[in-house]
Amino acid sequence: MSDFIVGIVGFLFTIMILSYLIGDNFLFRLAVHIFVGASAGYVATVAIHQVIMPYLIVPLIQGSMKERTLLAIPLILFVLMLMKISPRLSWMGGPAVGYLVGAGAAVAISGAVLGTILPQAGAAAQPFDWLHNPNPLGTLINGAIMLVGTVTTLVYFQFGAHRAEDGSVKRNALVEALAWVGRLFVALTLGVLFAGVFSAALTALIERINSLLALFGF
Amino acid sequence: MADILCPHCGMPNASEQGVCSFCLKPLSGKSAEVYRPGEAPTKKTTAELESVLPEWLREAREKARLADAEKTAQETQAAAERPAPKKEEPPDFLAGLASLGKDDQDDEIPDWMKTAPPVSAPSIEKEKTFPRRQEIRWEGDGVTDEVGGLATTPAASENGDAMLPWMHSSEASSENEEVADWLKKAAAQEEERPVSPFPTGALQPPVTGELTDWLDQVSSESAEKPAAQEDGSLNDWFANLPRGETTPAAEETSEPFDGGEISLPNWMQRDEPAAAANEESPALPSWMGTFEPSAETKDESAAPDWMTRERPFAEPQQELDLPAWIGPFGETDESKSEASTPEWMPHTPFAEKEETGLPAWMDGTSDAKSEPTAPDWMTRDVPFSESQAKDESETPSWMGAFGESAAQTENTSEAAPTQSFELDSKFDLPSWLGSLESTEPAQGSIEPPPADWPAPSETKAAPPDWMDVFRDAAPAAETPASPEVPHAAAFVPAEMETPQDGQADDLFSSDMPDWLSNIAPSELKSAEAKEPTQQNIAPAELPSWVQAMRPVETALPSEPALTVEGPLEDRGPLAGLRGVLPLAGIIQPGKPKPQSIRLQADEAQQASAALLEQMLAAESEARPLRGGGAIASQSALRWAITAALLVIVVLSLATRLQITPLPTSLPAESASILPTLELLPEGAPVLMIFDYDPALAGELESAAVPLLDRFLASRRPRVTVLSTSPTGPALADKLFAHELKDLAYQSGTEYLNLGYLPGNNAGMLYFAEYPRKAIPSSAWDLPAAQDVTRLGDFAAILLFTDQSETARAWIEQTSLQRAGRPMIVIASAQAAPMILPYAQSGQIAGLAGGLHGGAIFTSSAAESPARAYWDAYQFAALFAAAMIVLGGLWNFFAGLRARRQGME
Repeated sequence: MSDFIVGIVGFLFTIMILSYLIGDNFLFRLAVHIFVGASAGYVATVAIHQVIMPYLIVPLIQGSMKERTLLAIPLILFVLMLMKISPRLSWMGGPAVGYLVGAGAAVAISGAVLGTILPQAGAAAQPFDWLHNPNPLGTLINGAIMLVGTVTTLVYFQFGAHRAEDGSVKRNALVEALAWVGRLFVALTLGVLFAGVFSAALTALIERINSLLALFGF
Repeated sequence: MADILCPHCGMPNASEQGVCSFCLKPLSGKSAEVYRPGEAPTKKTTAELESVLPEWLREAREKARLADAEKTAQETQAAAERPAPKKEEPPDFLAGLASLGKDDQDDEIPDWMKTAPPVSAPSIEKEKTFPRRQEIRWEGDGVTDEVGGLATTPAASENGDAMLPWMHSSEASSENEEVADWLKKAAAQEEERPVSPFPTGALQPPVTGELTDWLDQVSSESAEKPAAQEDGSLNDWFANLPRGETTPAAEETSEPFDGGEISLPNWMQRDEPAAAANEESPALPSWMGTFEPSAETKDESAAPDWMTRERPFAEPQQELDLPAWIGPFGETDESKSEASTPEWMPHTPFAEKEETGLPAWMDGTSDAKSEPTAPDWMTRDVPFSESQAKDESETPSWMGAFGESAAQTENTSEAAPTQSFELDSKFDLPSWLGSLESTEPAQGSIEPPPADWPAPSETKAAPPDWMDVFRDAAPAAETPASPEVPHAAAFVPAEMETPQDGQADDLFSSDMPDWLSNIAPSELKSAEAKEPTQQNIAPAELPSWVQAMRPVETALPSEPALTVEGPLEDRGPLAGLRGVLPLAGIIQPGKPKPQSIRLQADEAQQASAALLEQMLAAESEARPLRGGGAIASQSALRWAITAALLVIVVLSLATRLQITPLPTSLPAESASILPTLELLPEGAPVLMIFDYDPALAGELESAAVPLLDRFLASRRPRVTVLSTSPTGPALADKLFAHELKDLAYQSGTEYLNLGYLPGNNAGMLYFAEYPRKAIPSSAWDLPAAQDVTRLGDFAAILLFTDQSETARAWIEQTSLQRAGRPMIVIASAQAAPMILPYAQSGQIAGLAGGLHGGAIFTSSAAESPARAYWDAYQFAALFAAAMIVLGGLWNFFAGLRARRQGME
């Protein structure tokens, strides 16, 4: 029974969202508002039960003195963050926001450097290690293509130019050629991304229609 | 009698009149105004502009006139109804004017008659436009004393006319209506309001001592004066008054000058005989008629007692200080006799004559030509002296005191130049006196008193206050004005009509009484000399406090107080000054140099900025499409495509058409997934991270279920679920409860859901280093994760995500702490391309993306979402691909056609 009700509700909301095909309307907005509200409520509940309670309230009540002393700092920062609600006292939440931003930036930067830049750079150079590749030609071509695509894409975003004799603005011929190639790689990349988005959306649509059909016995 | 409207003032005048009685301008001929450009506008009165006035205003004016006329008629009627006490009718002093008028060859209406206002139109306008003849009032006497209108202080006239009240005619003749009217009015008024000339208010003269001092003095001084002829000194000049004859002047005037109803002051009034005399001479005012030396008038009982008995002021006046002009009126003892008339009256030219009852100058039948038309006292050439006063029987006794003072200067008086008293335009005498002019002005040259006459201040006795009125005509230098009492002339010359040419001289001809002609003659001339331009009022003596209020002109110093050396400044605000400190270049005079607020950039910088701007504009602008015309309705195409797609999907799903084969070849990134998972030991803890949104749950589930079915079924690992999204744990539970329900994973023993991991990247890093601290929970003690203390304790990590950033973050943060443990990413089709480099770089063990990734792990015989969705997915994808191709081809051929048309 619950599944049937859930199915009916899901069907209705699906129809309401698909009504956007005819334009912005009340049903679509109603569905959006309900979804946002429900999500906000669920998130708030999860945050209270899985973050504030176990991380702040319970340790302050049941924790040792050391834990309570250590929790004073996040508690103060928590209160300061609440000051962001008042425009007059929002300046008090500055330190907490600064700490969050600083800590997040540090983690992100370290991870990006250690987890993306260095490994990716090594991986980009690996195809050119034809000595240790079992298929050096294949890897070499792959590497070259990858290299060309990378370089030309970077050249495409290079806007240094000079004024020609006729008054028009033109870049260097080599740069212009490489930029043209880079434009192709950019276009291919955007195409692939678009295809992936389309595939994901199509899959979501199929799943929804399948759910509706299953609800009605199909 | 039809009235003629004056073209100037608009007042009605008699048809016989040639000159307007009000404005004294000709009524015809010259009345037409000729407007010439450039001339100053002529003043107009409202009456002249009545024709252009609005109707409502004309009606109001007419009503006002009618009301005034009615009022005047009522007053006249009331005056006529009241019987005039004949006893009190004063002698008509001016009765002789009619005789004078007859003698005049000039038949024109005398000025004094012309100024008589019409009875029919006494209005407020008259009061405004015409001057008021103010009566001279005895100062100190609160009662109006109309002593012939000559001895009273100025008072407003009720009628607003220019005539003295006592001059108002009591009867109006049929011929001269205007003169009679005003005389009638005067008589009526006087009859109504008998005025006592005495401070006590009694009509009878007070006993000796009650009158003013000057009267006492006069009476005392007059003891040596020749007594007035009791028997008829007064009567003589009365007799000279014309009787019953209308003088030519009177005939011509609008109001006949009959003194029958003129109201005179009581002391001038006589009994009935006087009134009878007035009746006999209707042309004379009544008050003048009472002066006729009729037998009845001699009746002492009819006359006031003070006029009959011994006059108190007839007593010798010692040390009487009187103005010089009063001299001829020096009183004598004889004048104190019990004459029926005042002593002075016999001396006046108005004394009755036994023959005619009128004074000679007023009696037209008398030898006016041979004899002086004016009484002797008016025609006296010799300065007044005592001897003259004695000789002149007409000199009234009360005026005798003045003659005494004149007698003191008898010696000098002879030497004094005889000044013919000429009426100056400055000296305003009533216009009615103009009729007294004689044709022989040479006869009646009134000599003013000599200049060396003793001033009043020289005498011991101070003149009475009422004499100060006459003293005002004197120049200010001679008689310093009293600061307390404002002085005013006896007459108000500014408001009075200036006599016409020739009349001034005639006014003070020999026919005029001396007391009229001697009204400050010297002062007039002196005033005239000093103020030749001023026509009217003699210079007033301002009190000192008024003089102090005069504005003081502030005189600027012609030269500066200090002399400064130095160069002369020739420009700027300090031009013309010396000693100005030089600017020395500190301050630049003039307007400061304007400073530009524009950005200062050289040409090279500006060129570079322009170049960059053009390049950016070229990149952002959309190039026009070369091709065919756009489809008319985009929404229709959109609806068509949508409908087709839905049809394909629904049909595929509904029919469970599984005709499309599943992919068999595994991509390189997905090829190592199964082998990696196959290498895990059984019951090994595996961490599964569910970081995707509910919107793409269908895709992820379709991609994850085939793999999980195979992996969980083969190795039966202990699953620990974690999520950095609040909805992740719920999705994990749904997956294990619905899609993997066949595997029957038990919560707690084989399945542990740790819940939400906060902190995003920092939380990932924290969990990677301290899993139990990152998620403090008692579930760590469950068999599913009882031996896991760090991230490396997990045999494998499976990441289910729909965002490439999430995958990247997990990959970056756990790369060090995983300690070589494999990480497999099941991503959405939209995130898989971005995560592929990580797979190709070996940072992750495998990557499965989208429905295709799940499909490759699905066998054709298995029932999985991937299999159910694959046909619909394939057909829909094929349709989309076809649409893309068809659209591209359409644009290509349309562009070719447009280009071909453009070339053509």
